[in-house]
Amino acid sequence: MKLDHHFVRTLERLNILAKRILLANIAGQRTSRRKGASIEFHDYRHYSPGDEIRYIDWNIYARHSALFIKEFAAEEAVHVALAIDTSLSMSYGRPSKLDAARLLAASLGYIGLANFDAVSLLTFTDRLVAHKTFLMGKGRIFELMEALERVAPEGKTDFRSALRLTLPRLKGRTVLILLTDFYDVENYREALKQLLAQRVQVHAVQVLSEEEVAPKLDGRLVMQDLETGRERELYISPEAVDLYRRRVQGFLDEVQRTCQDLEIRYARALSREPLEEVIVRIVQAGILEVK
Amino acid sequence: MKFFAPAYLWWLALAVPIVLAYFYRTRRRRVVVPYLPFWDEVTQRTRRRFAILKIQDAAQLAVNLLIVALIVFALAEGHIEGVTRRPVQHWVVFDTSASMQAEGRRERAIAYLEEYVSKSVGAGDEMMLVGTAGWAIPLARDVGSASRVLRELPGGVYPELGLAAVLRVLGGRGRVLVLTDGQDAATPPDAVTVGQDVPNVAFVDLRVDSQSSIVEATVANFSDQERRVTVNIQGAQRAVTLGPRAEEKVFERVQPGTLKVFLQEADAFSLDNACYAVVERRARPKVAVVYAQALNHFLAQALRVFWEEGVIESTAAFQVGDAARVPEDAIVVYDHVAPPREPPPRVLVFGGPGARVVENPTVLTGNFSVRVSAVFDEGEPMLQALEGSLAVFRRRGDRSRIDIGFRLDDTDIQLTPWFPMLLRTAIDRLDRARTFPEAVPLGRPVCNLYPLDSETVEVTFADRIKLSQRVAVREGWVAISNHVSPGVFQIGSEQVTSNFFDRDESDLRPKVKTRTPAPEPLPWTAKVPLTAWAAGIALLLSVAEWGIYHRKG
Repeated sequence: MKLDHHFVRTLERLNILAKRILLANIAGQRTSRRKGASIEFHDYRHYSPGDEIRYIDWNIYARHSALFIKEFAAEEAVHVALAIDTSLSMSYGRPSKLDAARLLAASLGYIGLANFDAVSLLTFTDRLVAHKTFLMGKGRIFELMEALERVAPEGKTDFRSALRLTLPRLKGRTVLILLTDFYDVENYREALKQLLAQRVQVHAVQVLSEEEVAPKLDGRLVMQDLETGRERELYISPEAVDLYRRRVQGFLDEVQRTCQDLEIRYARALSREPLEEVIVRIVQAGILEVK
Repeated sequence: MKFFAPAYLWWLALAVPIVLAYFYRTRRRRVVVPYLPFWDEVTQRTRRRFAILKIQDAAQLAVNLLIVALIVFALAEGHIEGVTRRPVQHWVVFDTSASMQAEGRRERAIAYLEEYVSKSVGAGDEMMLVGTAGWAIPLARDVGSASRVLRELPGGVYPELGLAAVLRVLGGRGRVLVLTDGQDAATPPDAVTVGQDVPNVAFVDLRVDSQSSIVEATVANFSDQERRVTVNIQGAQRAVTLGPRAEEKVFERVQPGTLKVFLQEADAFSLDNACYAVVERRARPKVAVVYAQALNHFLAQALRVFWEEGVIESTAAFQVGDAARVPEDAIVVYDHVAPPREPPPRVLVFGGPGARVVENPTVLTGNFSVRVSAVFDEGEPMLQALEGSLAVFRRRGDRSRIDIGFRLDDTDIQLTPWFPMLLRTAIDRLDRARTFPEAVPLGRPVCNLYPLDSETVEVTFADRIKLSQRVAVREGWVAISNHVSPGVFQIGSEQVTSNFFDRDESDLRPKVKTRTPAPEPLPWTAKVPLTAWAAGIALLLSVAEWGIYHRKG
């Protein structure tokens, strides 16, 4: 897994959108509403006993004989959690959806690291696993990519049980980017709601392969479900393929609509698409912003 | 079940690729999908069709295997005991000797052949009609066409190979049915004899005395009853009464030329009711030429050659002023001179412009008439030369005449390359040395009367039998074997006649046994063509299979 040099330069001009979620105690590059120790002037206030004398503006005191303290804006970091669906269905397609998700996670992770955000790598199937947490600084990108390469597909997606128990430290202060195919049709909506209830800002990137969106199948086939292993002998006619395409499109529209309802930024990525195009689409979806 | 051609059973191996193709086509391909429930939902409607498809595939395999089995059955000639039999070759040997020309014999042969075909000839059988003359004609298996071939066989006498020779050749080949009148000594005991007692009267001899021009025709009665017949010799009718198995001679003086002697009221064996002869001329003609200014050089040259060859006795030339000196018995040639109002009997006129000149075409008048003959129709060429017709029969009212002549321009007759030949033909015709048709005496080899210039001639026999053959001409003479059909035939441009019937053949003795049972008819089951049915069903199944499974749209 490699990121192109020029592409990396492009990524450095992007930033992950985080809406009023800044990670306290960790200095970053994002300007916080809280006052801090950055060089950016924020406001004046009357001196109170106990304030540091070095922040008194002596020029104002000379003109008005009153003590005012200069306040500066605090620069804070965001915790970006990249949650990759590693269920077996993500191993489908050439290249596999998981490969595409890995590349995408590396790109998003690099964006976060480049902006002095804290980046965590999580995977989930029916449970959430933290592989790397709170990586900071561009130098940690290799650590992140190494962790991504170790990620292997297994198990079945179960959004509810996987996302029910999030890491306590994520609560209320994390931008969670889901990289998944959403093949837990019954439960994904509830799970997303559950996440939002924990005041986690969620972005969703639905990763799909071209083979599943527009399959080229016909005749008599024994189909096996990648996740459950269930088999069924089916006769696939052109009419059935057409119906399937419409069904998949309906599902994609439904996921998109659900995300819109829940105010979750949503983007779609095909595994065979060039990464640059996917990033552009993610920018258009509002998950990333140009600095 | 037996197979007459078991080698074809190897073709059953064709079933192997068909079965393999079936398994390949209906193999289950295994594919993985990320989310099966979507496919479950959308294939609800096609599940029933899938079940039907499975049945269709199995049915198609069964049909394909059945087609192979049927084709192999047909090729291997499947035979079910009691239902089918092996195809048989039937050889119908037909006696073509002269005696079979007797009235009723061919009809009886046809009737028996029809019965035989309907009872014994089955599908797949082959049938060949073989004449004792040696020819063979394949016959169709249906009754109508078989009998039609036999009915349309040309009449006349063929050169006989003989029944014994034919049976020897056919020995051991299929079933042989012999249709004969039993005259041949080689008639096998199981032959079907179709002969019967024919009260036959025939000419058995014809002699011509060239000195006296008297014809002696001997007519015989072969039956046991007294017969009264009329003999026609050059138009003269002589009534003759013939006792049982008796002969009578008839004498008649005749003119030189072709002679046809025939019985009026022909009997049941018409072949020997006529015979032909040639009455040779007694003296060579004299030829006189009457010319206007100068004797035509080419005419004189041609006459000189004729004189040297002995065709004419003498020639003489007269200017038009000396025409009164022309001898009365000579053939007079008027060369561009108008003939007198009452010309001598034998006149040849070469036309030219001027008063009283005979119109074109130049006409040769002999002041003779001929009887209306059935042989020639009016306007029909009687003698055909290379350049066109030389002699044409014409009739006006009761009078008939034969015009001999050729188209002449008013100049340059010498430039006509065939002029000498035409001149000679005209002289012969005026001298009655050559009539039409020419003939040869009974029993003699056919030959042309004059030496031929060519090295080979094309001989076309009469009766519209298309038997053409090239015959070598040696020293100007052509000889043909005796085995030719009676009647008129043609050698190049010459028409000659002959009669070569066998005297023994015309002696039709009564036949005691007129029919011998033929071989037992083959069983009716022969008519069940299992191989044909198998092939037909295979074809139908193939078409149906294609229509159901492969036709697009």
